[in-house]
Amino acid sequence: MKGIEAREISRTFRVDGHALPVLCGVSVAAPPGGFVAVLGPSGSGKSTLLSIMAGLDRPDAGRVVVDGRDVTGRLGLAGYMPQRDLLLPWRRTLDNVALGPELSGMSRADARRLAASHFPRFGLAGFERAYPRTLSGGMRQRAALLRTFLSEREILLLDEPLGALDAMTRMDLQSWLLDVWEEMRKTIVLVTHDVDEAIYLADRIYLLSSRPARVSAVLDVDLRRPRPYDEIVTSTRFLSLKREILGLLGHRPVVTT
Amino acid sequence: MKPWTRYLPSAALLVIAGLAWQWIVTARHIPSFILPGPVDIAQTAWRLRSLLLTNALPTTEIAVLGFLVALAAGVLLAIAIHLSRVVELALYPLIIASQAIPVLALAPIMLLVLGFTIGPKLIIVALICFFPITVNTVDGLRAVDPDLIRMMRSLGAHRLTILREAELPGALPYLFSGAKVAVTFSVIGALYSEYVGSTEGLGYLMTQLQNQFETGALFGAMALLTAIGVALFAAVTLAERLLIPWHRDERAALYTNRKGYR
Ligand SMILES: Nc1ncnc2c1ncn2[C@@H]1O[C@H](COP(=O)(O)OP(=O)(O)OP(=O)(O)O)[C@@H](O)[C@H]1O
Ligand SMILES: [Mg+2]
Repeated sequence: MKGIEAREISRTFRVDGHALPVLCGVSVAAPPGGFVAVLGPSGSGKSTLLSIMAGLDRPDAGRVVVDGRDVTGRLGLAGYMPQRDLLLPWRRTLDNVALGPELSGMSRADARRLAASHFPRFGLAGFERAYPRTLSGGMRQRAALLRTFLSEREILLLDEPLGALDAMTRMDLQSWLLDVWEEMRKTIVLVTHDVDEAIYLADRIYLLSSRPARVSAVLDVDLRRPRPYDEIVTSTRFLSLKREILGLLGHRPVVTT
Repeated sequence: MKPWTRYLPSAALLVIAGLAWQWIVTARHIPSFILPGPVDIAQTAWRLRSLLLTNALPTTEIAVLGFLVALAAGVLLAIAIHLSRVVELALYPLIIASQAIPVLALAPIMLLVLGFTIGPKLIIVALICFFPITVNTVDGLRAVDPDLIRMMRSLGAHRLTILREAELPGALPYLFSGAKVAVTFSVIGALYSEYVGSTEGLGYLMTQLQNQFETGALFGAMALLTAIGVALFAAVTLAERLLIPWHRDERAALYTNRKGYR
């Protein structure tokens, strides 16, 4: 089992000749088998951080470390799910999901079998032969999530994987994500701007400030596992964590009790 | 709309033009060796039908084979240009320059060098046809969503895997746009190739007919050429539908509500 660390990452973009500092010495660490959430306002640089961790972009300063080795800029070490679902329009849904294991070296037939076996669970049964454009936004996102999970990487970097889902499906898939994670024991870094989602899923939450992003707080989520959804999200510990985070984010919750 | 009704407007236009043509020719007593009327043309063409058809065969063959050569060469060139900046810098200017070559002047020279085989004819057709295929395919290979490529790279895909799974399928609609233009050129190209150094084909036949002032038969040959061009175009369109069903879906969705906002 591998863990992944981003150490003191800084990144500045050039936009029309102007410097746009986005990340400013951001450090995030996911221990082997851990579930870490990165929470921050829109535009703070969460996606930028994740694509640096995936090796797709290079930081101006800082390093990405896996298993104690510097892997900055190395591709293919972690399964990365971008914010957009990015299904290939010319592949049917089943073949899109099978792309994950296929790119990890599995034969196409095996990859398809593996993918098909997970379709019912993902609510995709019956849509194996459909082209992506005929799927709903939520289905597309579930297919992309499944593709990432089946890519046979120990580390998964998920950029708002449940962002396009309605509240109901979202709750379902959050529980599902925890089940699968507990079963498959992967190291997960999840980017989100949903406070509830971060608390419910993660062991640890990194709070980013708005741009240029720094880590403004690190919170350990000391909720027990496994986490039955209804019980956890209504527990006093959950609510006090939520209050703390909202306070840190600058939202003063209206106190009515 | 039923499939056949969409051709009604253009068919009607053709009929009207034909009637006007016939009327002018009759009213003005234009001799048929200068400008025959449609009726005259139809009669002559029918009389000479076996001559026309036997000569249409080799022309079609050259057009099709030449087009296929252009397709293969055009796509391979496009891939090479896409994959290598050096190849792009070396070849793109030459490819553009090749379009300025006067093919009609080139034809006799190639016949001298390569002899009276099918080779020079195919080269002439391919030279005329490959350009729209290459240019469109290069554009298509470059138009693939960069985020798709990033996604595949993050999953460890090799350069050639990305080419095969993302760039080439994404370029197919562009390739077909180019192929449709090219296939209509291919008939003209085949005709050119037969003007010189040929003893068969519609191009050869047309020079003969011209010399003999067989204007009616000449028009018949032209109509036949047009029909071949349209048929080849339809064949490419059909191939497009079969090869990129996901693209057709997309376009169908685009136009389903067309009536609504007209
Ligand atoms: N390639 C790029 N070139 C220039 N600017 C960029 C680039 N990528 C991101 N940015 C800028 O960096 C900032 C952070 O972008 P990023 O996508 O990382 O934010 P985010 O936290 O993921 O936001 P969201 O929650 O809305 O997805 C934005 O202001 C964006 O405009
Ligand atoms: Mg983002």
